[in-house]
Amino acid sequence: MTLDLYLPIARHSVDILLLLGLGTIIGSFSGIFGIGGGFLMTPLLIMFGIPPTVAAASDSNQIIAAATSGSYAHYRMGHVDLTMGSFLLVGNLVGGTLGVEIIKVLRHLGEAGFLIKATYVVLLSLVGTYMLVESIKSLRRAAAGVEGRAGSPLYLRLGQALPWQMYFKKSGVALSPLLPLFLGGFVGLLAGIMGLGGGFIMVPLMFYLLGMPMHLVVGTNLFQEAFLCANVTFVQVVTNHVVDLTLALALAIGSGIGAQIGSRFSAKVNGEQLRFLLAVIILAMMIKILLGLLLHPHYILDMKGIS
Amino acid sequence: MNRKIGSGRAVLILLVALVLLGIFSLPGRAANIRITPATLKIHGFFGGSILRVSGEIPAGTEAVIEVIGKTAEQELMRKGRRWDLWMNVGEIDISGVPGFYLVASSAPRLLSASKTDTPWGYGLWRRRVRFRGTFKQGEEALIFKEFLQLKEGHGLYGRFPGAVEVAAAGRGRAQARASFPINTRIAPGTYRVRVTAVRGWQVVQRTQVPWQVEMVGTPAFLTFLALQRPVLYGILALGLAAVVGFLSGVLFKRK
Repeated sequence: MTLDLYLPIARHSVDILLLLGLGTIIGSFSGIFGIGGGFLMTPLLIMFGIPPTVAAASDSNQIIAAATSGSYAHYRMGHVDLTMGSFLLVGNLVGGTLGVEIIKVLRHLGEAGFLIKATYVVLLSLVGTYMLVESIKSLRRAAAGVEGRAGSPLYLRLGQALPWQMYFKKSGVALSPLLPLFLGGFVGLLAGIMGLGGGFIMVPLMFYLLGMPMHLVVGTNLFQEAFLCANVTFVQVVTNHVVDLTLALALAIGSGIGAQIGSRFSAKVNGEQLRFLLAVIILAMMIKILLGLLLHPHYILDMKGIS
Repeated sequence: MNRKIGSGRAVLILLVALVLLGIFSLPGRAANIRITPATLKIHGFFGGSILRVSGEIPAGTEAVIEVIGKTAEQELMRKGRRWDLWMNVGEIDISGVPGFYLVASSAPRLLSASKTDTPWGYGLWRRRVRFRGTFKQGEEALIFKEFLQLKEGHGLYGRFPGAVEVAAAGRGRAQARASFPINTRIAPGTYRVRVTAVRGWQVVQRTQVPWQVEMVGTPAFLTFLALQRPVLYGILALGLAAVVGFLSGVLFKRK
């Protein structure tokens, strides 16, 4: 027995319980890891027959709910660095706009689809492998009773060498605001090209490059991602008409609840375990995309915009 | 003078023929085609439907029943292998074929894949299809086959050999009946339902009626907002997502 929900922009029906369940699971990842989960949600929606353009745009709409819910929960626990988040957000918005323009040119050249997937594979494998290795090292250090955290002294030195040094009280780090602006811009650029919020890249960079504590990374990224996704959603609604409000709302209800469950769960596990889990998820997704590039596709033809 | 009278008669005969043709092409009149539901309504909880068609045909004939969507150019991407990786390698535009097509027959042989010269079925569209884009000469059959597979995969094309039941209706007539699964991907618009009576491979009667698919209620309202009032739709999308996020936060805080 299924209760189908008709999605007028996607022009397809999906079981409402499936959408709510999907929203809750991915939303809980938002609460736990501080990522929007677009890199997981969009491929899953496509798997259930939603056209990719609608899936990506509607997902950015529903991320607003999860990010609002999650960042509000983290804010109440004092886990959001508003100053750092604002710098990241400004960079992200600029980079994102540039990324959208780049992808327009690439789409015109006809190479966008492949470039997006290839970028995904490279980034996911780099980020996933690095996080996995670092979290295993940290877990071993913790088991051996050695204190200290993983991090690159080179990046910390670079951050300290840049002009306009300021102290981010909440995060407890002193660095130039140019660094979060640049990082935000870089992630925004990649996210604009790949059509995602970019949380899965931003979270490791905030931890490893900005030196922020993991519990602040999660809340702060959700804070800036809520605004970033609001911007993407509005642009998609006005220019491409591909946001399906029914789909986004069903996912948002699930993810809003999931984000609350996730943020409570994240407070009970340590940072190393969180990073290890996220690394495994990122690598699993990388393998899925890589297989999609290597294995013979089910259909040789696809409706335009499907891949 | 005689010539003038002759041409006048011809015009009169033509007018009478046109009037008669008009009467007999009225929906459901000519072949007594009955369609259930008469209009398919796509509502908020639409999960697909079953279209039931029945039509009168001469006794002793076999039947082909078709549901045909509008013919429009369809833009497709072709995948290919480059550097051992699968990627889109070009665009193929397909025209001359409908976006939606279901066909059922009383005798399975009428929809045989090897019989391609029939005025129904995939063979009809194979003859009418036009390709434009990234393909080599001689690849048309392969492209059309892949197109059919894609459409069937999406539930927008379907072939049901032997799915039409024919029962005697008296006075030299028979009743042909078929049921078609309607996928949720069906687009709103006007479709044609066509009943063809066949003897041997010859068409002895062919009639068609229009069939409407409409989006109603919330889906129709949201589609209108998304396409005609995008700014309002955008504000609604952002507002609802933020409200849902805050509400779930507040709800959990209380608990």
